Amino acid sequence: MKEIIFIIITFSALGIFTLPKRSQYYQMLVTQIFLIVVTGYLMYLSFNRIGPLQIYLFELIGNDVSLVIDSLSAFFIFVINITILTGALYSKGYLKPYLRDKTRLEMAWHYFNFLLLHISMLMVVMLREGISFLVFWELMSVAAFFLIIFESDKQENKDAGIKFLIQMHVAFYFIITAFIICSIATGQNIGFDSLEQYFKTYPSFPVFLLFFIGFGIKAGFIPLHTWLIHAHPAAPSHISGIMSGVIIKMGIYGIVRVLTYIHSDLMPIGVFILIISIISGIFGVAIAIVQHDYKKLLAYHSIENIGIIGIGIGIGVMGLAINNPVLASLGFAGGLLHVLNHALFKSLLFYTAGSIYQQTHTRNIENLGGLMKKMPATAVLFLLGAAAISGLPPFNGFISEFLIYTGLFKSLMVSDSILSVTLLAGIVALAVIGGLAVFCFTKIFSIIFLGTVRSDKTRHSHEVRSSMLFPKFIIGILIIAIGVMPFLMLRPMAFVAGVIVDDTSSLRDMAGTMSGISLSLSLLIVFIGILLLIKLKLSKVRHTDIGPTWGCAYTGSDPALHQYSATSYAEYIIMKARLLVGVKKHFRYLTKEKIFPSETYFKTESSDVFDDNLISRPVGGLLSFMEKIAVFQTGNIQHYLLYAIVFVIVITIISIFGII
Amino acid sequence: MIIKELKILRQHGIQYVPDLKTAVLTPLFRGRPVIKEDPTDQETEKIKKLCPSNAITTEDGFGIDIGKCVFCKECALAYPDKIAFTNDYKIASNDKNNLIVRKGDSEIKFNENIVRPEVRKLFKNALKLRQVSAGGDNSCEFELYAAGNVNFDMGRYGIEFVASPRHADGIVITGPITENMSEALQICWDASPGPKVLILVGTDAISGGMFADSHAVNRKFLEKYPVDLYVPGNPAHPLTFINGVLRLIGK
Repeated sequence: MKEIIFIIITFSALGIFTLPKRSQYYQMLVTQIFLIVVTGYLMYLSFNRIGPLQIYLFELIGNDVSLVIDSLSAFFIFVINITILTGALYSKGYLKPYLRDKTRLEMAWHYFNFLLLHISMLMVVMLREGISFLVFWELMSVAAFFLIIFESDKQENKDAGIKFLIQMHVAFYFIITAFIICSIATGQNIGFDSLEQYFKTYPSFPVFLLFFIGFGIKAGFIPLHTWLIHAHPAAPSHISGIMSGVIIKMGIYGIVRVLTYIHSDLMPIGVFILIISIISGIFGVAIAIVQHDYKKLLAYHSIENIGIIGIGIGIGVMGLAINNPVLASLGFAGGLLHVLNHALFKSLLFYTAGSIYQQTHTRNIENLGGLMKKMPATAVLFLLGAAAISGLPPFNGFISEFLIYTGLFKSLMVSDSILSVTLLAGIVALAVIGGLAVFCFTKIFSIIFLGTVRSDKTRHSHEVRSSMLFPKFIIGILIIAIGVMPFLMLRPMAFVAGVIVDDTSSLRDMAGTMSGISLSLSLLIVFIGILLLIKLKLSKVRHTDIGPTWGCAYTGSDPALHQYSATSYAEYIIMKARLLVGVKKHFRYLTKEKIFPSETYFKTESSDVFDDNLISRPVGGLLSFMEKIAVFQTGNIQHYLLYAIVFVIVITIISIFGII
Repeated sequence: MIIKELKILRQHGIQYVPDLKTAVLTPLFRGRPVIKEDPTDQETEKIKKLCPSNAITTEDGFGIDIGKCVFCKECALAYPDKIAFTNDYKIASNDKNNLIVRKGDSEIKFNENIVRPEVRKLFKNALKLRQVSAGGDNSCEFELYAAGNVNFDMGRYGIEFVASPRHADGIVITGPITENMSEALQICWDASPGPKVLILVGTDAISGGMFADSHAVNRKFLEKYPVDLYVPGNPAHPLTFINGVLRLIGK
């Protein structure tokens, strides 16, 4: 049976190359649905049993390679499948304008890598054997690389892709080093199974740190995030959504998987994860606020949400350390539920961002404005995603953050004073992140969708085709479903958290609270619905006038220029976080010239201090050093002969004097 | 410390005008003119020359159009036995013809018949207005501002000036409507949701006043839309404005 499945998948994946441009997409979609059905069945099987589901595949250099699916794997399979499916459905409309310019092979290569990414991510969460895990881990990065550089005619996209690939390799070396250390120390084969033995006998923290850096680069914890902010904007939007939705979550999966084997040093690990996550969350959202590129802004929000997930996991580990099942189960369940939630609303936001990009061909929000009138469905979906990511009820982001908050507050009373201070820091950080996220999304939504058109780029935009809206509606429904009926998620999340926490009864105790949330939110929705109905009814009876946006009746020049700009809206935060975000202002002072001043300009640009100091400056220094060395490379054969003679002479002199 | 504040409060006494409808202004106030006796033709010619804003009409007998009058009192000073200015401030009307004062008139009439029914129905309890200074000289604007202060406090009747035409039930225009402001005025009018009222405050707005013949004035806007209320005065007194609006909304 499994051989047949593998043959079907291999042939249908390779078959993409033989098909004409128009039908390649359907071939990919059908293969993906096949994969989703198969893994969905495995997921169903694993949820209905005690202990993980094991399927023996083959033998690799003396190791048995099998698929091992426990509820953690099953949960990630669900997240992967749902995001990939919506991404694939969305890509049909998004890739349509590219079909004309790209060759048949280029399109086939893109679709093939899309499939490869799907397969490799599924395998990563199912494999426990080291070598096959690492092979698929690498395949995932390589496939993602080719997907990022889809628009490779732009140099910046290629640069971002290469940056991604290099950093993924650095991450890979950290992971493989950690695996090899465990393998050598325990004498077992490379793989997750060796970790169990290793962490029992040796101190956990150093090797965990290696794993954390390796997986953390993938996840995008600050300061390991620098690939993410370049790769997300460079990738086509369906890939951005998938990258932000699931690829970075593979890092989270790795960290949680490693944590399942650790039973010592839990307190320092928990505090470490918590601190890194708080930094990621607050810095991520603070830097997001000053961004002008909406895809880059969403990329920074991915970092922020990884921070929220990390806070959940961090307090979960701390709960394990002090044997507090309430803190542990609520922390892990909240963090992991946020993995799903973030995958949903972030992919929704990236898909809507892609629709905006397709219509306007600009990523700079200062050029947009007034799109709500032209793209109403996109605007509503973006607003829904924005409300969800800000953690507002009745959407799903609220539920996962609520679980984490509940865990923190419940443990605040029972724990000692030092731990209480740490937990309090977590609560404050979550609150600050939530507040800043709301601020950031009021900015981006109002600048893009409200007001009047700021440039010619948006004048000819209109609503995207329904094939691009349909997957977004699916995500929207899921977001509201989780937000309104959170009790449905309690049992599955208890299963998932059960992989790492033994006693998850506190999650089941939340059922009453969740039903309360569900009831009040349903009432809220019904109330809003009634108001909307009344409005609809009244607007049918009454006369409606449609006019331009009120711009203070300014007629001097383009009134759009006198709206709030993104920079002016965020000025307060820019002032407060100047050191962190490194905003530079370029402008010419007006001097006394004539009666009327001559033309001047004002430009702001922001940079990431971590990116500057950790990546750009060292790499720049290295490059300039290399350029100095490159003066030897003249391209003149006589010079090279001279170098050879000098070398021979030097060697001769050295050996005569017996230095070597 | 608080005693000091209380002392000041006591010293100031009651600042607000208790009843805006029956308040009596100082006799020095130049309100509604009265024509005690029709001037002779010779005198009329002289008065016409005296008047800086062509407010004297001779159609159907001698009359003073307070929509054009700048209340300079030149005519009353020249012929004190024929023309006088009283301190009657209730001079707002919704009919431009009623603004012409003739011999024997004892009040400026308000034409109840031409008030639109929706104005009475919708704005009786709350009327939010947007003020547009279309080339105004800030005198009427100051008076309108004063209409909302503690002394006159038109807010007690639910009348208020708002910051955006989107929130407004009507537009109040001051100034002669200059060419440069005509487009902005039109945008502002269009931006305000209907049904809405249009109120002209001050002689400049009603007739152009001193600037009626200026080439920098463009009053085409007023030809397009019916005016609900004329509030004469140069500048109009807050009490004139408030009483006029109250009659308009039927309060």
